[in-house]
Amino acid sequence: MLRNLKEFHYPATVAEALAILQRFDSRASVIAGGTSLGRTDDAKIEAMVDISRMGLAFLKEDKVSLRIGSTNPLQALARSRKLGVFAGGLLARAAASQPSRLLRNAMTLGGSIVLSTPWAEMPPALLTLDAKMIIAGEIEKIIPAEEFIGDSKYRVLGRSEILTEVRVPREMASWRSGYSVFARTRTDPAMVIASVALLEDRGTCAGARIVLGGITRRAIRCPAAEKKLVGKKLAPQHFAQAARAAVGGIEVVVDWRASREYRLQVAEVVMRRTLAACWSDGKEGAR
Amino acid sequence: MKLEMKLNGKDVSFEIAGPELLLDLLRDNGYFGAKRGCDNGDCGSCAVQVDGKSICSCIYFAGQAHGREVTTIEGLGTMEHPHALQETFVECGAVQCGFCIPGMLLSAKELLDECPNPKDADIREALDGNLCRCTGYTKQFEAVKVAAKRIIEGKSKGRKPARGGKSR
Repeated sequence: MLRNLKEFHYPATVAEALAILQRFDSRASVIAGGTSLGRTDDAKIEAMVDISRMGLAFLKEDKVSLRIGSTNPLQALARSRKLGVFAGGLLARAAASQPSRLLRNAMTLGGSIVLSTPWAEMPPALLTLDAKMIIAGEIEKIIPAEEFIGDSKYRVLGRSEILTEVRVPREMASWRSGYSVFARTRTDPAMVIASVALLEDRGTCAGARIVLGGITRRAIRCPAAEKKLVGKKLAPQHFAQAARAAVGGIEVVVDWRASREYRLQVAEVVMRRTLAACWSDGKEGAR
Repeated sequence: MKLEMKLNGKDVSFEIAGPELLLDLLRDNGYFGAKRGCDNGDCGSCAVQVDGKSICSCIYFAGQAHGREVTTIEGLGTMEHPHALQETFVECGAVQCGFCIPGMLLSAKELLDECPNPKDADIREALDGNLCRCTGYTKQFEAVKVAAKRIIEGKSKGRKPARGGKSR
């Protein structure tokens, strides 16, 4: 419980929100959907800065990027027609893989990234699509997903910084994708997330971006697996080789649900199937 | 801190503590329709609508609702004038112990407000955050289908805003 929480602030602009955060130093927290904060225990927090009213629930395109505002609820992303076709609908499927409509209505894109639990839905998909995180603060920072998601120093943003937007390169729009989640039950946290994007050029794999989540502390790219595919006319044995390479040497997160060995075996199977489905029709469903 | 919001169509204000959750605020003020189930955002029995979107009030700070419009099951219909969904849930035998039903009705209402003629997959998706431990989901699924048809055919009041009668 946030027992010392005394006030809420409802800034209308990013500048206003940053000013409030600066004023409170480390005693304020940003809130958007709030689904994780309600259960947080932090005696330092005295104020909440609600960033859900600052016009950050946008979805637009410019010449180089698909731009997605950080306070978009996962449900809006899951239902977006634009995201439903961009890169084979990868981002929409990732958002829809959060199993409860009630939570999808509240959880935001930014929350999924910043909290970045091992089972968070969006980071694997954003890493797959080479997204960039836009951070507002004293200076605006643009941080690649690979750095932001993979590095603990960005896990908690600076105390007076806000993740405002995610930009996905438009050149990813024509890639095929696959996204699969393996969990004990539909509502249980994911044990494995396989998120992949493949580019086809006249029957040959011209590009591959392969990401594992759930099984690792943070979503990770698997360059060794990508090398098994690029430049080849893909057949089932290539998917099997890539899947084996993807799980090779990874640091597995283990809890009471399943052993390391079980997770590795499942991850390899899920990855192989996801790659095969992605290449064949790009319609491998989440969960 | 002072919280102002529209609750079931009426402007209201409350003096709240910072960490107070919306579910506690509602139940402390006599709105018992939202139920405390898992207290973790898993079961959906605490669902209410905030600006037309159903959310879990057990993990939603009351402060987040400031300036917003909150609808509880007490605002959906009355005993005299039930919402079409309330009629069809009864007619289809979708209610057994009833604990999950307020949340389920609000999720279903959000669906019908957005999509008056939902496909089967839409209904399943709309109710996927509401767990029922008695009946299963077949009858509730059927009830939403029948309600949608009834509202489209104009046989029921459907979206008519209702007054906030309180019930335990």
